[in-house]
Amino acid sequence: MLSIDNLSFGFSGKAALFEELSLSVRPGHVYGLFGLNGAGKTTLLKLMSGLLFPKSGICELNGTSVQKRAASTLNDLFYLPEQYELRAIRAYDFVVEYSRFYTGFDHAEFKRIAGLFDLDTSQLLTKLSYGQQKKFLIAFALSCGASLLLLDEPTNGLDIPSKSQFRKVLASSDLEGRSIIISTHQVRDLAQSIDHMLVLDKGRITLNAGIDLLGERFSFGRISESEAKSRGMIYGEEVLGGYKAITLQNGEGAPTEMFDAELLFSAVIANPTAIHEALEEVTV
Amino acid sequence: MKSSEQKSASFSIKRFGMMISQYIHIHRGGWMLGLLVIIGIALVVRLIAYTLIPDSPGQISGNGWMGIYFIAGLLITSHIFFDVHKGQQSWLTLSLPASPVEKYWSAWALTGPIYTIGAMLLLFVLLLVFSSLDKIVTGNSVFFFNPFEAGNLTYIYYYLLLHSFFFWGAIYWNKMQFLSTLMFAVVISIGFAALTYGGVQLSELLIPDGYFIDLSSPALSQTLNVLKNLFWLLSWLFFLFWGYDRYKNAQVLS
Repeated sequence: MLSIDNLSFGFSGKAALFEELSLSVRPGHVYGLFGLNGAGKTTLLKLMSGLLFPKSGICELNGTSVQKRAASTLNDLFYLPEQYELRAIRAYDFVVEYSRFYTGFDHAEFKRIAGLFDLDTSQLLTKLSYGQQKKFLIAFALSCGASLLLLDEPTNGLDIPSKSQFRKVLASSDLEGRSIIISTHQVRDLAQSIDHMLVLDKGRITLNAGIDLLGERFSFGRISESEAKSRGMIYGEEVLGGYKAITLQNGEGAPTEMFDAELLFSAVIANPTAIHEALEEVTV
Repeated sequence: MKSSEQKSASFSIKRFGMMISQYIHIHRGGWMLGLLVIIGIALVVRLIAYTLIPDSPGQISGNGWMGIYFIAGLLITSHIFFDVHKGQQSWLTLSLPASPVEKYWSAWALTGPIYTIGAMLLLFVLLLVFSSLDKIVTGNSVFFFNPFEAGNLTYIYYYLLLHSFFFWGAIYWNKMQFLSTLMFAVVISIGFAALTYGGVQLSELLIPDGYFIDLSSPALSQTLNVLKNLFWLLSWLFFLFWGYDRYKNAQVLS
């Protein structure tokens, strides 16, 4: 679907942000793109959507360079930025005006999601709160029929019930032949909605692995100080009476708490080598 | 089938048309405001004429209106890509499923030929209404605006010629596109004039006895005319395609 090959990019007058970055995105998955502030998540999404051009390397969607901005390519991807400014038109008019360009736009699906989000499409977009605007754009993105959705910090600005609603909407969306890349630094918000984890750090993808595989390899949970030594803790954060830790999934006695994407993200940032070694051939 | 055809074609008349409608929609507030301002100014001018010189307020004619068509057109043209220059708005336009060819040339068609046809029709109707009302007040005859008059056609010709330059400016300059293009034109004109003046001075220096070519020769005058037209045509194409290259490579940097 989407393939990035040896991509290098840097803003003029600044150090290179990415050097020879490669990545392949397959259909049917929800990718979580995690990274520290300034890691380049937004820039990477813009490069994926053809809104920025790489210095070298190539980014292709279904075999066509996104940089060409061919109509067929743009019909197949939707980029939802974190920061945007919408025009003063009614939400309903926006849908009429813009949906015509998307050959696969599903009006029934838009109505369904707008209903779930409790959106009033008769309102001017500029009269909606930031959170409502975001929900409106998410509904539009999920209905446009694009096979690649790039969502930049989609839960920013959403209240707690809306975040939960967003997760439900995402879970109920048809993923067949489609991929969603969600960039966020709020790992906890979306950890349950993704099935693949990408970590961007220092201009490289330092982790690229499915949640299933990560769950098979690692155990997450609280362990005591003595267990930390005996179980070979890969990464731990000190908590009362021990560690919130990641250990290898090696049978008896391993902590059995749920997969903790936030902890794993911190582990990858703090000590990528340990995670790479544990995953062996899986990481990029 | 129809939808897959639309998906695969690099140029589709349907998308081209949709882009024109999109531009009209995006700028509709501006169009309406401009129209109301023009009608308002015309009414005020006419009312002043009725009040100050009630005996001979003058007859309604097309004079001045073509100037408004000209200036308003270049202002609209300069503003057509305003969202592409705004980082937080450009993502929507640039990622809209239409090719750069469709997006760029539909904007050109709208601000050039379509605007001209629309403006001429509007002038015809507007002046007909104005002069009909005027007839009631002054008894003057009704005025029928004819865009095909030689003077009006010259205006249209120069508008469509200059339009490509301002269209280029609309995408080239990030801010104050109209003024920036105007300033650029002034600088270019001064440079061109200086170059010509320098050339003449140099030729006088090199050939003190007079010009080495006979400027009054009809053959030369014809050649110069052809060269002038060729120059305008090439400049017209140059700015249009330079603008297209700029549009095609526009990025969302902020």
